[in-house]
Formats: sequence, C-alpha cells, structure tokens
Amino acid sequence: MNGTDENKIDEKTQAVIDEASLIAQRILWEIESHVKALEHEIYYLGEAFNTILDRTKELDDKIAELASIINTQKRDNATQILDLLKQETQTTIDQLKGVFTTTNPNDLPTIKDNLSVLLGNKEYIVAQIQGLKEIKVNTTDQEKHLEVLERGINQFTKAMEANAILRITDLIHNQIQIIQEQTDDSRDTTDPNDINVLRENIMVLEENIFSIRDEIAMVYKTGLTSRALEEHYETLEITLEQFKRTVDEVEARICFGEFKT
Amino acid sequence: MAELVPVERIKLSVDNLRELNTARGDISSRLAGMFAKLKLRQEIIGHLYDYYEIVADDYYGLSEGAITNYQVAIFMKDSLQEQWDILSKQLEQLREILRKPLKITEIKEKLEKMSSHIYYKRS
Repeated sequence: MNGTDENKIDEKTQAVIDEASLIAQRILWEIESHVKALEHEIYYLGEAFNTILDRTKELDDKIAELASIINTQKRDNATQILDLLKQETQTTIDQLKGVFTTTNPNDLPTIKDNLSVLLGNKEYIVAQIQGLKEIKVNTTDQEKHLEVLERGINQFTKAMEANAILRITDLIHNQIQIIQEQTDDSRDTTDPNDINVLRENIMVLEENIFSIRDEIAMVYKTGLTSRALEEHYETLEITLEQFKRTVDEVEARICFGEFKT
Repeated sequence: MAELVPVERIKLSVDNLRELNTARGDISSRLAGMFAKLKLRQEIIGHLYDYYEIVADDYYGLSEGAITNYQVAIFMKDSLQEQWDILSKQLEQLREILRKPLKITEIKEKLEKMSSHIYYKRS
C-alpha cells in the first residue's frame, strides 16, 4: 500500500466521520445556545442587580438621615429634660418659702394644686428618663438632678405639714368633706337602725371638731391669728349642724312612715 | 412644661430605624444571592468555552481529514456520542441548579457538580 492509498478514506469510514462530525456539531451548537442563554441571563440579572443597588443607596441615605435625626432628638431630649429638672427644682424652692410662711388658709388649695403639678411634672420627667435609658442614652446627670427635685418636693410636703394654719385648714376641709358625704348618704336612709349609726358618727365628728378647736387655740397661744381660719372653722360647725338637722329629719320621716303603716 | 420631643416618639423612630435596618439586611441578602447567580453564570460560561474548544478541535480534526482510519473514526464517533449523551443530561441538571436560590459560598460546590463533564475528555 503506497502513501496515496494510506490517505484515501473509504466510504464506510467517511460515513462514520460524517456521523461523528454531526455529533460534534450538535454538541457545539448546544454549548453555543447555552452560552447565549446564560449571557442573556447575566445581562438581565446585572440590570436588576444595578437597579436594586441604586435603590439600596437611596435606602441607605434615608437610614443614615433617620439615625442622625434620632441622635439629635435623643441629645435634645436629654438636654431639655435636664433644663426641665432645673426649672422644676427652682420652682419648688421658690414656692417652698411661701408654704412655710403663709398664714392664709385660703392659700391651701393653690398650694395643693402647685404640689400636684410638681408631682405630675416629676412623674413625667421620671417616665422620660426611663424612656431615655431604654434607648441607651446616658442619664446620669438627669438622675442626679431628679434626686434634688425629689428632695425639694419632699420638703414641700413637709412644709405643708409644718405650717399649722395650713395643716388645720386641711383638717377642716377633710372634716367638711366627710360630713357632706354623710349628709348626702343619710338622706336616702330608710332603715331605723341606721339612725343610731348616724348619731354615733355625729359624736365622733363632734370630737374631731373639738380637737380642731383645741389645735386652733394652741396656735393662737403662739400669737398667730387668722380670721380666715376662724371662718373655715365656723363653716365646719355649720356643716355639722346641718348634718344633725338632716339626721333629725330622716329619723322623723322614718318614724312617721312607721306610724302611718 | 417646656416643649420637647417625647421619648415615646423617639422610641417609635428607633423601632422604625430597626425595621429599616432589617429590611436593608434582607435586601443585602438578596443582592448577595443575585451576585452569586451572576458569578456562577460567568464561571459556567468560562467552563463551557473551554469545553467548546476541546470539541471544536475534534470537529476540525474530523472535517479536515485528520482521521482516516476506520477504527479511529468509530472510536471518535462513539466517544462524541457518549459525550453528547452525558452533556445533554449535565446541561439539564445545570438548568436545575441555576433555577435554585444560591448563596455565594455555594458557587464552588455547584461548579464542581457541573464541571465533571466539561473535563470529561481530559480525564
């Protein structure tokens, strides 16, 4: 066999080569089509990725802005709470002198209102400090000033108790309130047994009033006098008298009702 | 009382910020997932190009008359047929892999799974 014969491909071999070539072509086409599909996917994925990334930048800016606002608000709130504490403490000190020295029993409602406002403001401040602590703000200064305010408010309460005129006025007001409530309740009474209870109550109230009168007398011995306090005391006596009359009337009504039946 | 921003309102803002951060974290995870998909596709294309060159060499060898021996031609045909069969299955599996969510750390593992056939001829 010479060189030409060696290079000559018979039909049978050529048919196999053609078949093999076709398979190879099919593989190449398949790979090409997959590469194209993947390139398309990369294009669209890339587009979506970049769009989301841009939006994410906007979101990042908003998060940074909100974080900055929150930090400013935290700082401002902490500062304002501190200012408020100082202001409230000063108000307490300013009012304290008046509470110690007043001889006017008519000041009592205003003083009580002031105390109530001070206590309300203190509760508000306590809640704010608690909230600041929850959001991790250092509140050491605020807590120190809160202790000062609390001491001031305690002194305010003690001053009210130490001021005899105010203390007696408060006692008188309490007694008047109790008598008025008893008077209202007694009007609806229909049970004869209640009358005895009401009479006993009157005796207790009379004892309380005598005690108050003694306290006034002791205050007057120190040289302190108050016409307004006397007026309050008179009102207390009148209120008790009115209660007694009401009890008498209720008793008469119950007895008359029994007599009628 | 002086005007101040109540702590309750600041706490609400803090809650909102926390929610935004969580949402931002989710977006980051999604972006990472998308990036992993992109990266995997790029890697696969690279491997497919390599494989393409190997098969193209065979194809040019066949079409340019480098093979004259019948037995060799039969071996080539059978070998290519076998590759075609395996490749069809592998590409189908590849589509399955590509359809699934992906973490960036999973790319290597996925590539190893699908590249076995690409290096088939060399092995």
